Amino acid sequence: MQHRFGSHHDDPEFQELRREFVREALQRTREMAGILETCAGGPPRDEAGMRFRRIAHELRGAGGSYGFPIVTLYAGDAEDGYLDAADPRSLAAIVGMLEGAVRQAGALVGIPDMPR
Amino acid sequence: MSGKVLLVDDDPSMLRLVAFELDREGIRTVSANTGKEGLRLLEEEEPAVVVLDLLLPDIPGTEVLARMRKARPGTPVVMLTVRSDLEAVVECMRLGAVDYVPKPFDRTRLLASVRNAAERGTLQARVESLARELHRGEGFAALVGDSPALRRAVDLLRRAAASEVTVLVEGESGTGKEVAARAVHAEGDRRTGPFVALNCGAIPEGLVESELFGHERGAFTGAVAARRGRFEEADGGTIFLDEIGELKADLQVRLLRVLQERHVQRVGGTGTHAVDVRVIAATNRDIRGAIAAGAFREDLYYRLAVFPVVIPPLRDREGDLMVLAVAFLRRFAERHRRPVAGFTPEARRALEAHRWPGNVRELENVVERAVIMEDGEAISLGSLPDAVVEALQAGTPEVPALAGGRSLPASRAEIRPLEEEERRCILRALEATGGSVQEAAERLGISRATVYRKLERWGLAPGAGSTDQEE
Repeated sequence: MQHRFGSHHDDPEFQELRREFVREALQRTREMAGILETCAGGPPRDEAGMRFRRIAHELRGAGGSYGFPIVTLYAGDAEDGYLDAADPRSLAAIVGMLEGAVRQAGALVGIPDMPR
Repeated sequence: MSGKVLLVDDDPSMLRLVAFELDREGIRTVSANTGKEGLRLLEEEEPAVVVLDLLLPDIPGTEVLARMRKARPGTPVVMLTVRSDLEAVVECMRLGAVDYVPKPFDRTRLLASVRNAAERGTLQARVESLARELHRGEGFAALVGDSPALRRAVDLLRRAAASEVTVLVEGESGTGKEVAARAVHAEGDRRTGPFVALNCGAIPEGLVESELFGHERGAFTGAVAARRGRFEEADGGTIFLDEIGELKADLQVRLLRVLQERHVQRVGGTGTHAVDVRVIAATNRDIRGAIAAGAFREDLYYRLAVFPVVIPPLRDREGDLMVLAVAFLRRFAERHRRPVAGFTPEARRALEAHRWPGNVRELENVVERAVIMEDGEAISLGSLPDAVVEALQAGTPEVPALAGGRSLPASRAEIRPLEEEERRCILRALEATGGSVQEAAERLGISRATVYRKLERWGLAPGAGSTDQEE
């Protein structure tokens, strides 16, 4: 879904809002990867699993709303994968692609050096 | 739009973006990131619209929605959630959400939804305000009076309103049986549903069945389209069946079946339609007598008279007459823009002397006519109909009226010696009957001999006023 920005797509305040989202999204994607690393042999469950799902769900809703549909796509795959109890390696691969999409979004909104 | 929008979402980035979009359109927002905080802000901020996410950290979004609808049913709620929650979205719409905006959201779609919801909320508030205005006085306040007889009836009606019981309202014509039925509806849980009234005695015999149960297209000559009956129209509300005693035997059977099965079958139809209807019936006939005579089904009577309430005739409502008369006077003076503010003492006495066979309806009509006729500030005898004035001149019910305390003079100055009143009554009676001692005596409830004796005592020539051939 493409976000229709209307008359304020060049609005500096709006662009700053998008940058803020991307910075936070990168942190949250890394948190998802961290959760997967702590789960040995199986998909994340209990509190960690809920946290994984919640981040994926929120990025799924917010990504496209900020004009980053690919973020929504991979975040949706991550949430659905979690709900389908997918293999953690598959989930890790999806989260990797999600992080890539977030970095791409950072480049689009002019964040020069996204932390590694 | 005026009024704030309450945003409830646990994702700060989503809250920021929605607030930004609405702010750019001049719409103020207030944000909550938990369900609990959202419920608190709903009470504190009284927003015009709520935009609610489904996945909240503390309380499920569906539960937050249900609690919001209960706390502030007039505040529209728009759901904002991802497409994967579709089942939950359906549940939200069932719970009363006005719209659903999928995430990721489209800015134009979100703004349209919020504006539509705000407009809907404003309209809803307006409709409720008008409905309150329309229904003002439709509750028990419409049953004006404080007599013990009326209080007993109102107490029963209140109990009926608090339940779903089928009510049979009995009473003479004009006592206010429909007003009572409307009050039960207006004060009960079905008040937001329709109130459908049908006078079973006022509809041509051949049409009653179609009126009650509806008909399918082609069911009879002239049935060019299918039509819902009154039972279907009253679905979710109350049906008031006036003059139920006039219903013919075959329709009594059909009505009994509807009351038992809560389904109606249209005339000419084969299927049935479920109806959720409260039934209030009314009659001014002696239904028990009709049962004894075989004119009314006993089983239908017991279905209808689960909770019988008798509305007393006006003559049994001690002290209510002038209260009602003044209430009608105020209403009609306002409606007809007449500067009439009260009754002259004579007019008051005339109203109190009349027997009111047509009960409250007759009084209402008399007062409305008088308000229109009267040129002064108080309704005088000249504005009252002859039937009412004649009652005073004939003095017909003076004794019972006094016993009921209804025709006591308004002030000490009006108290006259009994003999003087008696003289005035007899002379007026003679005047009104054209000098017929026979008729005057009959109307006064005394013997001819008493009339002659009184005339003699007052120094009036015996038989002077009489034209009776036999005297």
